[in-house]
Amino acid sequence: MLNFSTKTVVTISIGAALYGIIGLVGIPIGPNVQIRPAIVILTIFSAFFGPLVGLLSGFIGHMLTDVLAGWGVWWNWELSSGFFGFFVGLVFLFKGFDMKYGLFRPAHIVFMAVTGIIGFVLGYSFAGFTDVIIMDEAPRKILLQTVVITLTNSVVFIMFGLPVVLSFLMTNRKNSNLVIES
Amino acid sequence: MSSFGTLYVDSDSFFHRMEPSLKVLIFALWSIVVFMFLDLRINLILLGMGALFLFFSKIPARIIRNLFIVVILFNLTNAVFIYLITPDYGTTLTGKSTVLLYNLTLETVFYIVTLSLKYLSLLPMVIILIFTTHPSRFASSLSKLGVPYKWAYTFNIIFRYIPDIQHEFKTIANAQAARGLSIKKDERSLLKRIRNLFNITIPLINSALARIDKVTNAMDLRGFGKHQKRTWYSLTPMRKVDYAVAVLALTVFALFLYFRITTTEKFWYPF
Repeated sequence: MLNFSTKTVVTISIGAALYGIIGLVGIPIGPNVQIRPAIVILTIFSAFFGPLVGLLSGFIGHMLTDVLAGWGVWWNWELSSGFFGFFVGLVFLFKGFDMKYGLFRPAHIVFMAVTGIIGFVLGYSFAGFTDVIIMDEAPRKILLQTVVITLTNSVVFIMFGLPVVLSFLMTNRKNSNLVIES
Repeated sequence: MSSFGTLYVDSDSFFHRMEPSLKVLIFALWSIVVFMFLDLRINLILLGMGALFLFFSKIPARIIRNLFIVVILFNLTNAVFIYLITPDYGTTLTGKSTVLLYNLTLETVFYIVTLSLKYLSLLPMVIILIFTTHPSRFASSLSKLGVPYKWAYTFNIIFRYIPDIQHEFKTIANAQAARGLSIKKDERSLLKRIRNLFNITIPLINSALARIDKVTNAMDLRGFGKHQKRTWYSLTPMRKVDYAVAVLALTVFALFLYFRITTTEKFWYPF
């Protein structure tokens, strides 16, 4: 676990850089609300390479976004991205699921949707809880914030993240559609 | 930020010369002190110390100002939300209620001011850590703190590839725009713009996957990870000053800790 292969190191780094840079891009749809495609990047990377890569890419990448955008470092909210990356990457552990060869069953996609939302709920609950404990934020305000952010991100994840995963799986299926002729 | 590659501001100051792992240590201790208290006096002391540090760090005033503006704006919206959602939170904390206007109490105002200063007093060390530390020195210094060098090396790779990925994003966005799939305002329908933006991620991820293989092979060919230990080009030894600063930082931290243990209430309310 501690001794990564070279590939894991590179994957975490490139995933974090990609997630960090794309985190700066968004289309404003209302006051102070942006639709950001970054969550799609993290979903794909986690599905391709597993929970550990998702955890670290999400955490470091989100930190990078915050630092580059000039917001400073807020480690507990950045860790919530790590939570999401970890949970949405759990699908990688199934034998029958492989992004590279486009192997999947519909149940895997449902599993991803459920674990992704669990990741959001746990991640943002953690962030909100630590904000109350260490920053002494007003609990009721944080509760409202956490609920709103969990809902909006879950909607973006289901509406945009999962379709991109599906399209990747469909495209890569041609890597494994050969049959042995008798 | 105009250039994304690195945020490091090249200059020569006490903090630029300081060992990065020591800066990480001070940042950690500083954050713990901020987290321990909800006390206006402590936050004012920390802000004073921070102002002094920032003055010595020779970071351009423009950068410092921008970061403070962001956090102050955040605090203002935060204050409004706290007032709207929990106008009686100050009373919950102190058990007193001094009404100023309608449902606005003195306790809540005092709480909001303290909380805002608490957020602000986190900033100085964050700014120093980000803007006076060169990424490669940071990576080598992390490995000195006991982080396995393969983990530390991720920071080197990240800062190496940020400009490349940024360039690639622009290239793909332009190519898609040439096909009529723009993400800018010239596409009138908002829904289409959002869809186009999400479609950019697919080629971007594909090229990232190819890049991962290439970089991995290049690093493997050069023997990355063959040995348990490695040396760093940019590693600097701890100087006497660094040890002195470390001892000083730990002493000041112990003082704050002592003060926290001897005071019973976390929230300081003088009235």
